[in-house]
Amino acid sequence: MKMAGAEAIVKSLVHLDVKHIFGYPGGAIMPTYDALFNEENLHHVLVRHEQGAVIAAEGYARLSGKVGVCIATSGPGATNLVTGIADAMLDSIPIVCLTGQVNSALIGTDAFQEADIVGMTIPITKWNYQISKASEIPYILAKAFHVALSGRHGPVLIDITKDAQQGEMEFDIKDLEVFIDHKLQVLNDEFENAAKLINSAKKPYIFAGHGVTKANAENELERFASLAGIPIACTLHGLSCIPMDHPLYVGMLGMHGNYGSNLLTNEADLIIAIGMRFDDRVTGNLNTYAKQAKIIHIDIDNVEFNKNVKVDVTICGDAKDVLSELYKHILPNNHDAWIKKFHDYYQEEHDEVIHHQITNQAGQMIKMAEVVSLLSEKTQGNAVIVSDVGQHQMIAARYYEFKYPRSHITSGGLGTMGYSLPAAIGAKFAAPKREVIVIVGDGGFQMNIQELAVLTQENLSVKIILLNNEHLGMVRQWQEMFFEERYSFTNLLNPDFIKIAEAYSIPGLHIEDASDLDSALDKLLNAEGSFLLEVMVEKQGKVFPMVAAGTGVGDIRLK
Amino acid sequence: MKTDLNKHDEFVNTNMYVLSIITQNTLFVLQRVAGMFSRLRINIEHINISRHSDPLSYWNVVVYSTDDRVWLLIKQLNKIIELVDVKIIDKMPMTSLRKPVIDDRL
Repeated sequence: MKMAGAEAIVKSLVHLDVKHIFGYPGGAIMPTYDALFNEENLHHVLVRHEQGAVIAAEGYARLSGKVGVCIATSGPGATNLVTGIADAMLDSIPIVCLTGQVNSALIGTDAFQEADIVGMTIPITKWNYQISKASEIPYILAKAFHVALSGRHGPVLIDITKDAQQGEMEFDIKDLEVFIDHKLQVLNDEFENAAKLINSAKKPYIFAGHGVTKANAENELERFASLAGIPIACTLHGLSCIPMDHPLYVGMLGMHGNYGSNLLTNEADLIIAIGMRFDDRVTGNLNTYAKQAKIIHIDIDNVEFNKNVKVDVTICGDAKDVLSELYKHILPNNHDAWIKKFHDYYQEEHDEVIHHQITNQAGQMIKMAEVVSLLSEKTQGNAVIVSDVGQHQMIAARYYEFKYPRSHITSGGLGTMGYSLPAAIGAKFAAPKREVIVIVGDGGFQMNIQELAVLTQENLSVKIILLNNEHLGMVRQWQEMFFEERYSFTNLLNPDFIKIAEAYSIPGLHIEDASDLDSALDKLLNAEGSFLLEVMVEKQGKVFPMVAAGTGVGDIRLK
Repeated sequence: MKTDLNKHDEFVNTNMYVLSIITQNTLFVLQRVAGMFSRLRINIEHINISRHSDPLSYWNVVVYSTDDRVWLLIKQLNKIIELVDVKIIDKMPMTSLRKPVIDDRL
C-alpha cells in the first residue's frame, strides 16, 4: 500500500497496539500530526509541556506494562523530553519517544529548531535512531518497541526528519512483524548452587525490587518465599509487589526504609536479591554492607552483577522464569525466630517514630504521615499512589499500606521533581477504573503544574493531595541535620493553589486544622472528577528512620 | 597518607588492555562506543578503526584501567545494539611497563 511516511508512522503505532500517545505538536512533526487527525484507533493526549508528555508515557508504561509513547517536535520540543528520558533510563521504563527533525537536507546547517537530539540522548537511551527515509519507518518503529521491551526495559528515541514524514513509501505490514519474542531465555544454570545456599541458610532474606513487578512475578515470589519461609523486604520500586499485610513482608529497604529491614541486612546469612540493583540509596556505605552474608543475585541485566556489591551466585533472567525454576529446587522451611526479629525491631520503630508520626496531639500542625496513613485506611490500600520526589515521597512509601501490585509509581533513580502529576495522567489512561491519587509537595507541584489543564481537557479523575510545608522539605531536613541549619533558598512563597486549580475548573479544598482532615479526605475521595486537597503540614517535619549519606545500614538512626 | 596508599594500590592493579571491538558501520556508532568509555572515566590511549567488510567496523582500543572497571565496560558495551563483538586481546600489568614511583617514607 502506497502512503506518506507520516501515515506509516500512525499505521505502525496502531499495529503495534498503541492506544494512547502523549505529545505536543510543532513545525517539524506537523505531517505526523496531520496523519493523527483522522486516526480513530489512536487517542492523542495534548500535554502542556513536553516533559509532561514523556513522564505521562512513563506513568502509562509503569501501570500497563506496555510501551508508553510520546511525540514532540524538533529542537526545543525534543530537548524538553531529555529529563523524562533520563528518568526512564534509570528506572528501566519502556517508552518510545518520537521526535520530529528538520529536513535531512538542512541537518547540520543550524536550521530553525534543529537540535542533535540523537547525539544528545545516546547516554540516556537504550537505543536511538534517526530516520531520514520514509521506507525505514515501519521496520525501525517495530525495532524501537522490541528494544524498549526486550531484556531490561528502557527508553528508545526515534528522530524522524520532516522529509521522511512527507516522503512516499510502500507500507508492508510484514516489516512490523520481524520482532516477536521479548523474553530473554534464562542462560546460566546456577539453580543448584542457589538452592543449596537457600536450603542451608539459617537467616535468609529476600530483597524484592522493580524487576519482580516488571516480570509480573508477584505470585511466583509469594509462592517461593512462603515455601522456604523467607522474609521479604522491598526496595522503593519493589513496593506493592507483595501486600504489606503479608506475614512475610518485613519493610522497605534504603535510606528512609524501615528500621529492622535495614539493620538486619547486616545479620542475614543469605541475601536473595531479585530484580534490584544495590543502588547507593539502598546500600549506604558499601564497606559495611552485608559483609557476613552470602548473596544470590537474580537480575535480567548482567551488568548489575558485582557492580556495587560482590555476590556469590548470579542468575541472569526474567524474575518470573527464574523464581518458578528455583521453586522446584528448594525445600519447605520456616524461619519464625528470624522473622520475629524484624517484628521486634518494627515494634521499636513504631514506638519511637511511627506512633508519633501518625497521631496528632492537640495544637500540633498536621503531619504528612497522618494524611497518608488516614488515606491508606480510607482507601483500604486499593489506590494507585503516584508520588513526587522528596519528604512526602518517602512518607507515602512508608505509610501507605499497598495491597495490589503496580500501585506505587514514583521517580526513584533520577528523582525527578514534577513527576507525579504527568505520571498520574498516564497511569489513569492505563487503568481508568482504578483510583489514582497524586501525593505531591508544594515544590514539585509547581514544576509541572501546567498539566492540570490535561485533567480538565481529557475529563480525567485524578485526586491530588498537596502536602504543603512551604519548603523544599527534604533539602531543608538535610540543611538542618548536616548544614548547621543554614536554610539556603529552601523556603517557598507559594501562590494560592486552590485558586490555580479553580482556574483550571478543578475544585479544591484547603485545610490547616487536624480536625478537618477526616472530612476533607472523604470529600476528596467522593469527588466526581479531579480534586485538589491542599493540606498545610508542619514545616519542621523530618523523615526518620534515616541512613545518613556515607554511613552504613547498621548506623540507621531513629531520630 | 591514606589516599596516597590507595593511589599506589590503584597503580599496582592497573593494567594496559588492548580491546578488539566489532561494530556495525553506522552514524553515531563512534559516539556510542566512545561515550561508554568516558562514562566510566576510562581514557582512550590509542584507537584505530577501519572498515574491512562492508557493514562492519573493526576497532582496536588501548586503555589503562583495572579488571573490575574493564569488565563493567565490556558488559556495558555489549548492550549497544550496533555492537557485534568485544573482547580483550591483550593485557599487561602497568608495573611491567613502568617502575612505580613510591615514596619510601610511607
